Amino acid sequence: MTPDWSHDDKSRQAFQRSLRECVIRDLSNGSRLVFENQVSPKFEKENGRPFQNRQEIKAEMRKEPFYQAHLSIQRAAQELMWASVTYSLDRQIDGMMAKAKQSSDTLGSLTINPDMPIPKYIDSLDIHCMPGGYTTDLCDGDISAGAIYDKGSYMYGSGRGGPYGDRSGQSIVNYLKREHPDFAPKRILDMGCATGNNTVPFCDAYPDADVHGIELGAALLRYGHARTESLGKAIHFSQQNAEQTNFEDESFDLIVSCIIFHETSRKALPRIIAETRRLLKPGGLMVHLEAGQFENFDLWRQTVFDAETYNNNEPFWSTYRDMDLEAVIAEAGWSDGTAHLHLEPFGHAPVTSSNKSQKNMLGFWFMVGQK
Amino acid sequence: MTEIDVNKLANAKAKGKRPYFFDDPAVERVLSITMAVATELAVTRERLDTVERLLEAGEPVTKANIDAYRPDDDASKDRQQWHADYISRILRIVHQELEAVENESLNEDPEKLADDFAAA
Repeated sequence: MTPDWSHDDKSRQAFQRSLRECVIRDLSNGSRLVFENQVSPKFEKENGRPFQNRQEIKAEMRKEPFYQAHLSIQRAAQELMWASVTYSLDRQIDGMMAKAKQSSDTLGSLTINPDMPIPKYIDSLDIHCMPGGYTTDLCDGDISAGAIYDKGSYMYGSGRGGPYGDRSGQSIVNYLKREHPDFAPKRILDMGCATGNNTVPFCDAYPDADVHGIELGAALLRYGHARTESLGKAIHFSQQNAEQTNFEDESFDLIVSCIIFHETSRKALPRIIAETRRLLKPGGLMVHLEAGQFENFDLWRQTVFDAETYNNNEPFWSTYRDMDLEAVIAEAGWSDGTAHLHLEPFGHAPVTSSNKSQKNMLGFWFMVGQK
Repeated sequence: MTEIDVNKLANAKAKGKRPYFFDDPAVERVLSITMAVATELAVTRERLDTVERLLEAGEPVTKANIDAYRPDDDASKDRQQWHADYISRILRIVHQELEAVENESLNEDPEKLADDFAAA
């Protein structure tokens, strides 16, 4: 299902990757320098105290010409990145759609529900500035959002998702194999699976299991189904809302998600965690993977992350990262001690008591629970 | 023929109010256009690089050969390095502003110095 990129498509995408690297590395470092060398000392001198929160930092930094240029170039780069992927579908979208329609259900399956209401948190704006967003369905059998998302998210992560864009799913598998080596789930659900890239590792890790993926976007699912079949893997995709699915009580042994919490809302998030509990069999495991809470980062890092909320169409991102997740877990019906948060740092050994309190550690945070 | 206008979709505004970071929105517009033009120039430069590499290898320079060209590891590294250098050249004023933040001695005011030297 991978599109056939032309010479110029690849050049355009390669340049966007280089530009992103420049923004992430040079411009971000530059803004930190402006903050540390100029803005922070000036604020302390004028106010007799250091910055107390990221909102104060944001207000002062937005006046700085360097930071303005940084954010402006970053926004332009984000828009150009999606465009560089989308232009190249021009010659091949028909062929890809025809291929997806012919995709048989020999391994997995696809169930689209055109009557499913799309929650506002998904379609009020185009998350990450991806034109058309996750849920646009442009014609019968449309797969465009899936094709754009698959390549675009690879570029968005600067390739860190790996060639198959499955690093998040793979890291949950690694965690499970390490912490629960004898766990052999028979039925697995991935909530908010997008194009299923992060669902595939569960097919490989537990070849005897029935693997399901639910997602709100029909075009993501159609593309994901065709992609998964072409990889020779079996996933049962269905268009459903993770807040309230049509699966029976206690019907899964393992329920996972990869970085979906921050794209929901204050009320939807506990519902998703409660739905996870309803669907799990006794003894079943939940592993939801997400970015870390702001309290784990210093104020400058918080400011950088927070900018995504306003500049990259991620309206729930900062609220989510400020939330008391322990309280949300309890609100969602997980009693004391049955669920917890766990940091799986990038490129490091698992967290130990000695580095647990260290700030600014980058990694995946897992919300883990056993029913 | 497709029902999807891909170019329209690629150039579509993302749903959600677009943030503007400069006091004057025209600055934002010009910078955004500049980055798009920079991208297209990089695409053209890379096509030229492919043409040069085909010529060096004694291959016919046809559209088909250009589109079929796959850079080897060395060529890919060269191209990435060219991107990095090119972006540095385009963003030179931004990097210069940063130098001035890092090194205060680069910020002597010529107006003040003119007065100083007139008296010294």
